[in-house]
Amino acid sequence: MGTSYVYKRDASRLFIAMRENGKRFKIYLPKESKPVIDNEEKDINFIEQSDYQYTFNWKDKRYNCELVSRDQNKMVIKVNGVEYKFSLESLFSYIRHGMIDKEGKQIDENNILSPMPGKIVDLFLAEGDLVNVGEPILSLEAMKMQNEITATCNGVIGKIHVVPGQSVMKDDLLVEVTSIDV
Amino acid sequence: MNKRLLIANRSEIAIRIIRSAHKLGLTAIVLQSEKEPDALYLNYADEVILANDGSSDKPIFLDAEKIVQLALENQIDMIHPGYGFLSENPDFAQLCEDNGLNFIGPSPKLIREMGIKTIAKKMAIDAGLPLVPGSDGAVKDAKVALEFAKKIGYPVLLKASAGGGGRGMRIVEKPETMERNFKSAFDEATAAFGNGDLFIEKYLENPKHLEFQILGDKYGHVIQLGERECSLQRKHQKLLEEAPSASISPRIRKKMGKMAVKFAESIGYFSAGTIEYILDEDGTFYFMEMNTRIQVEHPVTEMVSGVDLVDWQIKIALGEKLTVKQSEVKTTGWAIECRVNTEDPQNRFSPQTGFIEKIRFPQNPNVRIETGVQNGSVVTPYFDSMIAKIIVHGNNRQDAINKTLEALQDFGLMGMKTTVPFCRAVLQHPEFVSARYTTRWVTQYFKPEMLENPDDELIGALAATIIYATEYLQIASDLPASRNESLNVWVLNKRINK
Amino acid sequence: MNKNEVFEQRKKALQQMEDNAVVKQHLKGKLTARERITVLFDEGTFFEFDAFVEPAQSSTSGKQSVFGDGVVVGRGLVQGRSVFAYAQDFTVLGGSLGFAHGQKIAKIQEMALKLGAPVVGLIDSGGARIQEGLKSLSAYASIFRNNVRSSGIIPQISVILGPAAGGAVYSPALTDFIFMTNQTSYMFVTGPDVVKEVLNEDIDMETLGGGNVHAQKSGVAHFVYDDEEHAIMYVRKLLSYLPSNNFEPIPISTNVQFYETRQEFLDKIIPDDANRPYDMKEIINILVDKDSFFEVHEKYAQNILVGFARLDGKTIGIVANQPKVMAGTLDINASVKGARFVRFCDAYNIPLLILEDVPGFLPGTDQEYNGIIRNGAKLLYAFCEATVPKITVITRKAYGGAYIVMSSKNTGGDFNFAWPTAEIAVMGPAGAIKIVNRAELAKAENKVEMEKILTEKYKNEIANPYKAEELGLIDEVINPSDTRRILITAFEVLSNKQYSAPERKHGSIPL
Repeated sequence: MGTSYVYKRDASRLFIAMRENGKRFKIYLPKESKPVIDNEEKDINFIEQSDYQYTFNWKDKRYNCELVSRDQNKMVIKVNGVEYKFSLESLFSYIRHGMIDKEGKQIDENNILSPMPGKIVDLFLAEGDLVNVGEPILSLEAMKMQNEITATCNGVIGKIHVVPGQSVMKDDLLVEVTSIDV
Repeated sequence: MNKRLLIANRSEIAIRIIRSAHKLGLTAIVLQSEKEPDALYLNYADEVILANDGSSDKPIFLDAEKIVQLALENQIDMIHPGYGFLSENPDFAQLCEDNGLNFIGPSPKLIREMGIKTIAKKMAIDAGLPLVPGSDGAVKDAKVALEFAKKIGYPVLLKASAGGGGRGMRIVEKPETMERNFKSAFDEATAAFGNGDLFIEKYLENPKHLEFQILGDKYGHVIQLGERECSLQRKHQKLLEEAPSASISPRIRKKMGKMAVKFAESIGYFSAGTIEYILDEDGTFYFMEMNTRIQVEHPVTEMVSGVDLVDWQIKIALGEKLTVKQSEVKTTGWAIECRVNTEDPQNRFSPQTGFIEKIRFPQNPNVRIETGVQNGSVVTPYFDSMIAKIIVHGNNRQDAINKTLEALQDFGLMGMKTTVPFCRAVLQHPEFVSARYTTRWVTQYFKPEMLENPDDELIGALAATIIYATEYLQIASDLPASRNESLNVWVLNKRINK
Repeated sequence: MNKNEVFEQRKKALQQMEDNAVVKQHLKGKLTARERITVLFDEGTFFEFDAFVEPAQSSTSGKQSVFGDGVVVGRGLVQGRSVFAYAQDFTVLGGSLGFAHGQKIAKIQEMALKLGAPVVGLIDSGGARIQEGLKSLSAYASIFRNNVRSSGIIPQISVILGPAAGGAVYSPALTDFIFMTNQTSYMFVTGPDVVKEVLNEDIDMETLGGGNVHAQKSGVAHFVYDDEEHAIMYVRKLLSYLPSNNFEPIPISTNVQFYETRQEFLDKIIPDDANRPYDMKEIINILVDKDSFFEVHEKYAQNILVGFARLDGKTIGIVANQPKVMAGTLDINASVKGARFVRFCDAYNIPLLILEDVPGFLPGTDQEYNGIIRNGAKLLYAFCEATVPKITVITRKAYGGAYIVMSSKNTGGDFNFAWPTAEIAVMGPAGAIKIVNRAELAKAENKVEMEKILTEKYKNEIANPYKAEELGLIDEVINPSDTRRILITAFEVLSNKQYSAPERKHGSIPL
């Protein structure tokens, strides 16, 4: 005897786009009509898509959007030359997400350790500087190559333990970074 | 005439000079650097000289001897240095002169004198120009600097006498930090210019940067074409310029212009040049320095005065008389120039390199575009990050601001970030609109959040959602996204044999 | 009670259990076992077995029926293709694995093996059921044995959606891919309590065995997502690349799009300065079908990139050095990561594309002491052993032992192409000229200048790809912008490749 369970998975075309600053957009994409954003139908026309570029027309203005980078459901979109970061959720995952306790994130994981033995070539930031995830913090020469070591979180540069020209071993602490991510 | 003109420069300014050369019936020749073998300007030139600078640390545009050698090999008559690179290098100008090449610019002697700030200032004093209170010459060490600072009052500025572009420059707020700053400025100046001489002067806290365009011929006739305001700077790099300036009264304007002409006459200046002034909050102005080349921002002056500066540079170098009289110079309307640098204003203006996948410029009779790139161009780390200039002319200042904003809306670049959103934010800021802005605008007012715009944000959210939803719905879809080819005989055979 | 009443009662009980589960799981940001099943399968296709199996009396308080013994098993369709799955239910006896529970899992494993369909395990379990003693351990053992028997025949995927502790971790460990979620899933052999007791080390579950830890540090998890829905959705995506079994041809996508205008960027993508890094992922994304690159082990040993993609609609496996991270050198973790992926692709007849820019193996005591020799050999073994079509494209550096390892011609590479920017030699110029031109360098007045000249000479005369082409070790030096076209043709040429290794029980890979 078999038992079937019916669950409407893709019945929902409602998605939530969340900025890194916490701002949310509730976006409903009906199959045949204009998008509904925050419960309001917007007269936005999708004009064309080429490679990574999406062009829209709204209020008689053209908007060019470029997908700059993507990591799973996190995207960086460039509109009119300015980048906006969004984290995307389906309604389903969004609700679940709210339940997960965000406490207990490891701070020291964000400190920058030397990934290999080498020599520090250059420091790009100073103590107290703000740093974005993925932004290069310093350049490390190893294997005759300069490697840019990047931040693993958005944060503030704490103590810098090295100076240019200094040789470092693998796993040496190079720079302390304090996360400001929620 | 049919003279052969070599342009010892690249990018937009090379194209700009080629345009003038062609207008005057000259053959325009450019240098092809191996560091940038597919550059756009190469397409515009009549001839291209290949420079083997691939294995060299410095690009051809910085190699004076090589340029002169190539010029001689290619029967060049004149050399236009553009801006940057060797444009204000007296040794290069001298080398050209010694080899019978007509260097487009003032005499090597004047370039040298204007390049050494202490000498330039002395000459300015002689001509009656006001100077910011400071040391007459280089100060020996931090101790002398401390004494001097006490006399003129803090904050003070340490400046490399051979410098420019902000290198070897330090602001000292209080006596305690003098020694440290002196040392670092000295080291920086030594490293950058091979000359660590520093001088000291009063530091103006909220200054504006104004400059007067000068044009003089070889027969002592000098005119000025009005001022430009270049107060919008970041780390001494100009980002947006306008002409004229809304910060001075007609009376002051007249006075500053007269002084500029008088100075240029007194030193026997010819070719295009710029007298830079610094304007204090209370309206007093001081002479800063003289630039002996064509400047990046020259188009704003051209737009309001109607005088083609590069044409005249070449004609003057050819010995022609300057036929424009001072009384004929009239400025009409207002012009704004936005520099398009491949820098990320959301991220401390960090330089960007890579491909220009797609670039779109505004098309409008009010808008002048000077660019050195096109679709598919590569921005390399070897050269500076300015890829274009957008210059807009309006009937008055507000009209110019509005038209510039419109033009910037039509600009698009895929592949990299630029300073265009920054310019947009500047043009909408009350301090700029009211013309109160100073060279401190970026540090005082600029925040990356200013670049954002709610409409753009909403469209961005929509685009992100569409990209996400496309994949989401495709994965969620029950429809097969793939097909299996029916078993071929080969596979079947393998199966049987196993 | 008549038959109908039994039926009704059971249905009601099942509904009751589900309602309870919803409350418990949702509060933790988790889904119930049945909800997970519905996310995984196409709508209405799940066919459940053994829903009314009951656990041994010893493990329940005896009052209430515990239908299903804490696991939902069955078969459904994923984009029209048959897949078996089991989902453990943490709300029933903590998802603990009792004998009946274990038997249910083993049953679908065996069915899947017979029918040649993938198995997906949705794991959320407290481990072996202590009350049932050795019986539950024996159930584990049968699951492990089935995992191993199925390995290389049907793809097995484990999705960790809650705790997996102790012996329970080894079933996932034996499967081909492990998915985890951030903050709600954990894997460890011994939990924080034992760690505290034995080592007096204070550590929480997330730091000991959370999703990010396994995705970045240990390499246990191949994929990690922020929430369960995304994790399970991407299982569907992964399955779309894979054949259902080792005899089935690879799936072919009917929708082929690629970045046509971007192909020419490849001509300019390699920096002039050989020491400047670039992002190999950009090259991959331009070469393969649009948005089709699905990276495996994205956050672990990032100096090597592995993942599935489609080329002209057909699945390929990609192994590529990543010059952006550690200059693309091979270290222990990268070798093991690469080797495992190559062997998976070989087992399921997925052709391999190797993009090579490797300056060498990572030197140092740390690497040597931990056995870079032994571990580097795994990658070499895997490439030599693989009989699927193998095509290598050398984009820049290919030096020494690392060159050999990355599917060089004589290890059995079917086609080896090089871009004009390739440098193929025994070692990099800096090291080579110090040995070859020692005398000249010693004599030189201007050492720096001499080194520059010799480096240039070495690059032009020895390390250049045309030299390798003359030797036949490179089949062709190709234009970067033609690469996609050439690769499609080359894989087409190789599509009927058959190569059998000599008869043996199995090789002895240097584990």
